[in-house]
Amino acid sequence: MRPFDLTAPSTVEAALAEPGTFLAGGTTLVDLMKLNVLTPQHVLDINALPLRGIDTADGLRIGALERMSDIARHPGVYPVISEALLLSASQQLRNMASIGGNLLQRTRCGYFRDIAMPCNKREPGSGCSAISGANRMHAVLGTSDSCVATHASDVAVAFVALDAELRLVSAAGTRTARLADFYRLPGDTPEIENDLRPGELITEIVIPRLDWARRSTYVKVRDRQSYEFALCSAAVALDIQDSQVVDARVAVGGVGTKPWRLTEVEAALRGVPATQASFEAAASVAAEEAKPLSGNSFKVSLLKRTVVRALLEGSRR
Amino acid sequence: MTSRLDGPVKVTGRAKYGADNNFPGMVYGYVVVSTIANGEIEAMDVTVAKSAPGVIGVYSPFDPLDLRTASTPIFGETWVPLQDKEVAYYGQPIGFVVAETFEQARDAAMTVEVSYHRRPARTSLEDGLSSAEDAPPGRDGGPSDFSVLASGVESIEDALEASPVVVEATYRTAPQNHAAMEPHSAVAVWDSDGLTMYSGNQGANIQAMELASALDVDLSSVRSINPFVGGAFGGKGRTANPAFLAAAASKTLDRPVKVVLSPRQCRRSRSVRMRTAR
Repeated sequence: MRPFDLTAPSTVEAALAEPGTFLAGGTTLVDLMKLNVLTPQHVLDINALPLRGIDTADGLRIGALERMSDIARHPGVYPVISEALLLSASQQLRNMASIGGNLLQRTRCGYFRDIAMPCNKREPGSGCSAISGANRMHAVLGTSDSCVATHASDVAVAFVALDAELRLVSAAGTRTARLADFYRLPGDTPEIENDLRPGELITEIVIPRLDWARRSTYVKVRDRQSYEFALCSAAVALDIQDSQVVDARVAVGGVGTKPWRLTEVEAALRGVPATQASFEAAASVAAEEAKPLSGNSFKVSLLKRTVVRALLEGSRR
Repeated sequence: MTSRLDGPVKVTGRAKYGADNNFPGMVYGYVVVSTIANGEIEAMDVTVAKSAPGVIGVYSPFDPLDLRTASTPIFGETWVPLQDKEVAYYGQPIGFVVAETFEQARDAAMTVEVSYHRRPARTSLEDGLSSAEDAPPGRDGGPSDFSVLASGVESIEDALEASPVVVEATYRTAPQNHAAMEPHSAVAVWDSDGLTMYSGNQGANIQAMELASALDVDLSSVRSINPFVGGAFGGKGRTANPAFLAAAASKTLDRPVKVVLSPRQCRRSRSVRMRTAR
């Protein structure tokens, strides 16, 4: 870790007035500072800012500094959100990590975290070590010749399925961004992971009201049953009436360079009976664009099976 | 039920491990490790580390600590760090930074820039078998390659030929890491009687012999204190690199020196049980 300055502004205006790197729960930033992956000169502790609160009056509004554990146990959040949070990290980390920070967490690609290795995301132009290296955990969707790292957040997958929006504030004013569009594909610039502008701060996450999302779930497949990132995960919500699927939301994680919405699968689910056969038929189009790497070809079939399992479990809610 | 004698003190935090020893004027060492698996160190830029806050010593193969290959009658020769520029594995100790605090030593160590002449990493046992070499002859002059046959068996080939059923298979074991709870660590203190080394290990006498040999001092002037062992499983059978580095730096600097490997370094810098196939 390199020496740095630390200040703790108490208002949003003061936080936006100072250049620096925002620190909330610190579960990504401090981790990466210890590894010298991130070396900010000036750190702004934003924990005193009034960006709290969980409002379930119309849809869901979550203050960006709410902790993962507090959101997970709030009775008004959709099951898919609560489950995605509870399957993330460890209880200690969930107690610290903010929801805004969770959405901006950096990839767990081992090459990104090891400063001795080339990595286009950490050091643009240095090359991608994962493409020809250890890539079992890496993405099969949205990859490029520059980067194949997955987005590591679980709850972002649930949020993308539910059409979440971000409220953002900067010295230039406030704006709203749809989370699914906020994340960028790596392309030739994997170091730019999202549309966050310099000095901009997430203030709130807004989930539009979707009453049938009460029937929703999050399935996470991983190498061990706790404290591990997803090999593949699926967030689903189902509107089922008279044993027929009226509408569905499906997004997957652990397989994409960003949380991956499967709109083709959603379309294939509309109007079909809520049975395993029709779930399998719908999931069969889930991996059509997948590009497996040397170590993760299993993810192509795992992706479809994870979607089917999530649909089955969701349909039984 | 029988209680382990050291169980209660270990689970209540009262056990004082090697690294729990502190002395007036003590300084902290941090090990710089290789980031390639095979090759030679061309250069190490330690300029920033040397002028970093609190740093009192930076050692490397270009500016080594005073150590020589340790040799004992029981185990033969033991490699000691910083004496040559060869890199034989990823995570090999190649530098050592000593500072007034642990954080200063760690932060300075991270500024060391290393350039290598790389050779291909050899990571596959199967791929390497064709170029494998026999072990050197035993120290008693005995051959490195010999057969043991049951009594009455003259030739393994003939015995297989005569067998009604022959089972052919390759048996493999995965590499294993000892992963002890207590990291590899050492606290070295010199006084007029010689060296006292506090370090959890599986044989204080072996450590004393190897340290005396590496430091070229009389065995009677090395005290090896082995207070508690927080897991070893064979991984602390021999003298750990932190003990060699702490002992030599403490002698040069005339200050007690503490070295604790990070969990990451423990996994990479220490011996493992190798992958096998037969």
